[in-house]
Parts: sequence; C-alpha cells; structure tokens
Amino acid sequence: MAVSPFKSLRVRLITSVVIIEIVMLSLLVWSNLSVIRQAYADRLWDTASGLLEQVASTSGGYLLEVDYASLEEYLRNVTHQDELTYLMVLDRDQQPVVKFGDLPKVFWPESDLHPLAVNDDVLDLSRDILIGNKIMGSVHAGFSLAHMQYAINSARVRSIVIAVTEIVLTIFVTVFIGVHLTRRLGQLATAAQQVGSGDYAVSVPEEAGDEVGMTAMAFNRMVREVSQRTRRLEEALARERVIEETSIDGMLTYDANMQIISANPAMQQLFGYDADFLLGKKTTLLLAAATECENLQPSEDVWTRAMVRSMEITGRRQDGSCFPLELYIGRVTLDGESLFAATLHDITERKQAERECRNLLEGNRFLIHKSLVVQEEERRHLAQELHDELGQCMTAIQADAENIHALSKHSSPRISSSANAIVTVSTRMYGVVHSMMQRLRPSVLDNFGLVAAVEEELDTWKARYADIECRFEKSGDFQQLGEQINISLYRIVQESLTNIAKHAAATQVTLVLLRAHDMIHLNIEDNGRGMAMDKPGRGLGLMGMRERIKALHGSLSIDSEIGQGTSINVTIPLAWEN
Amino acid sequence: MIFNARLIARVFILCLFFFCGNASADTLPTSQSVTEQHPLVFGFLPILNTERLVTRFAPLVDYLSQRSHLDIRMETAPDFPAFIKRTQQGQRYDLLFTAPHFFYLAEHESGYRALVRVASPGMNAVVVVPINSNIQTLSDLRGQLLATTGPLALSTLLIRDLLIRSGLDPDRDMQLVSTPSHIAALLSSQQGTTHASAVMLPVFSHVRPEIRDSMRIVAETSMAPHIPIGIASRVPAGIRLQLQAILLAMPDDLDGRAVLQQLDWPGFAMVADHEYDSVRWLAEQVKVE
Repeated sequence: MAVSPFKSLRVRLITSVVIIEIVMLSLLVWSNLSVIRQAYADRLWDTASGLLEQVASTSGGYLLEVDYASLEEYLRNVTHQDELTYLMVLDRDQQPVVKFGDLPKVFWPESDLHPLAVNDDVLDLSRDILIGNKIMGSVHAGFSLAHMQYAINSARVRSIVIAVTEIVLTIFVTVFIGVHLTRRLGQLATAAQQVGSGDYAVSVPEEAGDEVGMTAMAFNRMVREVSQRTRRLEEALARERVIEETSIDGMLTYDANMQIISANPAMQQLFGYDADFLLGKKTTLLLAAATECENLQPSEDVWTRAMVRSMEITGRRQDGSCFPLELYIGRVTLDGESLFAATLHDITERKQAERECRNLLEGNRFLIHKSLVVQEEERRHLAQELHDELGQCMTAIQADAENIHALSKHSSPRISSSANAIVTVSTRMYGVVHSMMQRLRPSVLDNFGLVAAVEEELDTWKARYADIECRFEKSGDFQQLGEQINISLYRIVQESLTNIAKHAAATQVTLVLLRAHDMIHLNIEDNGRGMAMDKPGRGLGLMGMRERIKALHGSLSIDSEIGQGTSINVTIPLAWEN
Repeated sequence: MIFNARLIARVFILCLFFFCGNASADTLPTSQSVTEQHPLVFGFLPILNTERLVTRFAPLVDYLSQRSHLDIRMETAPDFPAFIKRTQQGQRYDLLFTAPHFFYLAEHESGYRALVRVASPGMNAVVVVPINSNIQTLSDLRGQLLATTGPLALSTLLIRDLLIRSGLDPDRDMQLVSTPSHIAALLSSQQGTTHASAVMLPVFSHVRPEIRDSMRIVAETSMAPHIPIGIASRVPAGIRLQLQAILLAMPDDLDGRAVLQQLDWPGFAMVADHEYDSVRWLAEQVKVE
C-alpha cells in the first residue's frame, strides 16, 4: 500500500527538521546581529565618552591659562582615534579656540544619545569644561559611524554565510538520516502488514543496535510470540470444538439480552431443536416456565454462586415435554458487554434415583421407629411380667424360707441354715430381677414422670461412678409429657451417661432439662476427652438417639472436639405431640 | 585711635563710592561700552595650579561680579614669565592679582594702578625642612637641594636675599630646584625629593595640617608688602571706585566676610602712594625675555 507524500513520515520528518533548523538559525543570526550592533555601539559610545571626559577634565587649565597652543598640542597628542571626525574646544563665549577635522555645518549640534540613535552617520557629543564647578568652556567632538557600520556589516555577512552553510549541511544530514531511518521503518510497516494478513513467517533485519534496530528485534519477537499464541489458540479452539461436539451435555452461549449465540450438537439431543435453529432465539424457549428464565441471566451475586454450585431447572423440549436439568453458568466480559456460557446436564435419571433413595430412606426410618416403639412396648411388657409373675414368686419363696428358718431355728439347725440360705439367694435374685425391670422400663417413669426417672437414673449412676461430679438442672413442668417424649428423653439420658462412663473419662457432667415456649430442651455436657466429629464410625447408640428425635420431629446436635469435652443438645417441639 | 582712623577712612570711601556712583552714572556710556564689549578679565598670578586657583579665588571673583553687576572672569597664565608678559602687553588684564614685586613692574611699566591690598602688615618667606631633618640653620643648607617656586617668585627672591645676607651663595653653596608652585616646593622636601623648601609663610600656614605638622621652619625672611589688587588704567574711574568700595566694605557684609574667611584674609585696605616702592629692589631682579 503506497503512502501519500503528504503523509509520508520521511517527508514530514525531513521537512520539519529543515524548517525548525531554518527558523532557529534565523533567530540565532538575528540575535547575534543585535548583540553585535549593541556591542559595537557600546564600544564606540564608551570610547567617545571616555575621550570627551578626558579632554573636558584636562582642558580647563589650558583655557584658564589662555594657553591655546599647549591645548592644541595636547589635543593632537591624545586624539588618535580613526573614528574621530572633528574636535573643537569652545571658550566661555562659545567661540572655538582649538578645532580640527571636518567641522559640522550645524552650529553646534546637540549631543546624540547613543550611536544607534544617530541619523547623520556622525555621533556628535559635547561636554562642559569645568574647573571647581566653574564652566571654562566646552568640548565638541564627532565620531564617524562608518567603522561601526563596516564591522556590523562584516559580522552580518559572516553570520549569514555560516547560517546558510549550516542549513545546507543540516538538510543533507537530515535527508540522509531520514531516508536511512524511514527505509527501515518502511520495512517494519511492510512486515506489519504481512503479519496483519496472517503471514507469521515474516522477519525484519536487525542490523543496527539503535532504536529502530531494537524495534525490529521487538517486532520479530512479537511476531514469534503472536505466531505461537495463535497456534495455541487454534489448538485450544479445536479442542473446545471437539469437546462441544462430542459432549453429552448441552452447551450454549448467550448475551445479556438472553439471545443464544451458539449451541453445540448435544442441545439437539436434549431439546430436539436443531443447533442452527437456536441461534438468535431467546433462552426462554428452553425453559419449562418463563419465571425460570432468570436462572439463565443471573444477577451478579447469582452468577457468583453459580461459580461454586450448580442450579437445577426444568427444561422444555421441542415436543413440549419437560425434564430436569442441572445448569452451570459462567460469564465473561468482552468490550464491556457480558457474555454468558451455560452447560446443561440432563439429570432425569439422577432425579429418579434420588426419589427411589428417598423412598427407601423413609421406609427404613418408619421401620426403625416402629421397631423402637415395639421394643419399648416389649420392654415394658417384659418388665411388667417380671414384676407381676417372677416378683410374686420370689416374694413367696422368700416368705416361706423365712418361716422355715424361724420354725427350725431351735429344732433343726441344718434346716434352719438351709432356709436361711434360700432367703439370701431369693433376696439376691429379687435384686437382679428388680434391676432388670428398671433397665427394661423404670417404673418411676410411669408412676412419677420424667424428672423423677432421670433423678433416679442419675442417683444410680452416681453411686456407680462416685468420682464424677454430676449436676442436674431443670426448669419447667414435665408432668404432662407424652409417653413417646418421656421414654425418648429418658433413653437419651441413659445412653449419654453410658457413653460418658465408657468413653469420656470426664470428671464433670452437667445435665440441663428445661421447657420453654412449647419446646423441650435437653443438654448433656461433659468435660471429657471429646471426639472428632468428622470421623466416621459413630456407634449405634448415637444413631438410635437421632432416630428417636427425628421420629418426634425434633433435632439433635453434638458439639465435640478432641480434648474439649462433648455437648449433646436435644430440642423437641411439643406442638407435634398435640 | 586706629579704630577712629579706619572708621573715618570707611566713611570717606563710602562717600567716594556714592560720589563716584553718580560720576559713573555721568560716564555710564563709557563704562557700559567697556563692560558690554567684553567682560572684565581678572588676571591671577599662577601661584597655585589652576584647580586650586579657581577653588581659592573664584568666590572672590563671584562676589565682586555679583555686587558690581559686572561680568568678571578669571584668567591666569601657564607660568610667571607668561603672566608678566601678558601684563605688559597692552594691559591684557583689567584686574590684576599679582605678587608685590610684579605689581611694581606693572604699575611703573604698564600703567596699572593699585586698587586695594590685603589688610595685613605684609608677608615673608620661610625655609622649611622635614621635622626630623638634621638641618637646623641656614648654614646647614650647604650642599643641599632647596626647592623653590621658580626664580621670579617673591619667596625665591626673598630667600636668595636672606641667604646672601647670611653669607651663603645660593648659586654655589647649594642647588636651587624650581617647582611649578608653592605646594609642589613644599611637598618635594616633605616627601624627601629635596632637603628644604622655600615658600611664602601664608602658604605654609594654610596647607593641610598633616603636612604642616610634619615640617619645621628653619629661617624666615624680612617682610614684604602684602599682595595688591591692581586695575588697568583703561577701566573707567566709576568702575574702579565701585570695585574699590566693594572690596573695602567686604568685612561689613555677611557674604564678604565668608569670602574673606575662606581666603583667610582680614579684609582689604587702601594702598598708600609709593607703598610698593619698597620692593623695587626685588622688581629689579625680575628679568623676563
């Protein structure tokens, strides 16, 4: 592509430098001439003034002595100035007493103020001749400006010749350097055009280490870098294209107006639309409900959340059927405009599996709850049977054995001893049976309520672990609680105390039970060794607790760290029971 | 008695002044023609260089000019002989300030008349040497250099007479060195160029104190009449009497006293007839070619 001469860098560079040089040298010559004129004028002024001062200061004596011959001789001796055109000394009557040179026609000319302000080519100066402040006469002198003008003209010619010579040299040097520089710049421009047309094999010579050479090196390095990056970009685009074409997930890009810019072939499999058909369409076309459209154009915070988790929406196929989708959205900003990229994954199968798992879990939970209820019922029944049947028998055996012991104590010591042994064994057996009944179903729970049952359990526990300080705090009315809540809370307390005794190695245990705002709160806290909550392998006891509380629509949380003790918090709503 | 005589003289002069004023009025055309054609030229003997001469005597000239309403100008000459010649050549100077022995010549050879003289008894010359000099008497001047103001100067003539009367031959026993002025003669011995200086006593009395204090007077000559102011005979009588009256009345005027104080003169006095005949013997020694 040819460059216009008016836009040519070469022409503009050379023209600019030459013009600047001409202007600067003209200013310099003009300035020098002004200085030279002033200097010569000042020199002439100083010379003339000095001469006149000298004559004025020394002529007074001659005038007072009326010794004009000596005065003329003196003046001829001191006035050897080439520039002096005339000199005369006037007496007190303004009559010339000594004069020589070409006297002026004017009688007598006034003093000029400065050589540069002279009109007649002669600098006229005059001074009064004083002795003791008495005017004895005056001295008049004229100085030719011809010498000064000649010197100024010579200086002017010299300056102009030097300036013209410098301008010519500058033009030659500027043209040479300009052509040299712009030739290499032209190579750079041509190479840049080739790179612009996609030819990355171009290279410019790096012959000199100057700025143009450095630019050429940088250009070559830049071309290599652009070539490599272009190749990597093409490879990345090819990989992305393969991924898009072979992906089973739908991929599309759309702008801020939700108009689809691109869609991969999987979109056709998902939605039934041809990929080209989707271009320019609104993304609402793909949604089961219009309100879900905003999921495809998330606001800033939604977009941020979309970067860390997916969103589930419902898609609509071309035939009108709906299906669940998992949506991933990313956004980039190009030239100030947002561009969104979405990946759509059909999660129909996963949703189906989730539903089946959820149903199974619900069934299991129902069975667990049922088994727990049955278990409790069986335990209570068993305890009742032990109390009613075995307890009565043991009481009868003990009474009979004591009768025999009393009757035979004096007649048959052996029978008495045996009877006594039976009493002892039956008493122990009754204790065992009683203990089993308490574990199966504490009778105090049915007879006196939850608080009494807990206190009895704690008393028994403290009797067994006397070195552990145990504290029980309660608040509220717990008399009218249902069977389900009573036995669940009691079993949780029972299980927690067992765990503390077995695993915690605690020295302090605090148990808080309170009722407030139709909620029951239970907190069991120890200062034992604690446990790591993120490790699997929790025991069946904790699992049983959770299931009991879940059946009551309550919540159970466990806070524990290694070495920091354990805190179990239970909350049960009373509204459910009602 | 002296006071009464001076008072009578001043009254006489004033009467003379008024009389002459009227007389000058009668002869006004003549005096006017004299003064309007050219100003009065006051010739001063070059006893000092021109700068000092103007500085010293310009106030007197200005005073006279102001009081008389006449244009009076100072003039001098390059040296004593030139001044004497100009005095002799057709009364170049209308007024004349000159040495007593030169005035004798001007009076008797050129027709000048004495207008007034300085009101002092007279003046004499002295021989001075540096204060640390070994010269104690005139006889110590043998073989020494004696600075003078020139052979025609009053001081030189008085000293020569003193030396001869002291038994010394000034042309053989010592070397007389001529200098341009009294100050030059004084400075030559003060700075060691010569061994002694012969100057007029009034001049020595009025030099700068540091110079005067560094010198010592070895001998003094006899007295001579003080300097006169003469006037050319062509000057009209009215002007002459007017100027004479102004000069004599100077002590009575504030400005006049200031001028006299600057000159260190007490005033002016009338000159008696043949008063300057006493310096005839000095005038006869003046030979101008």
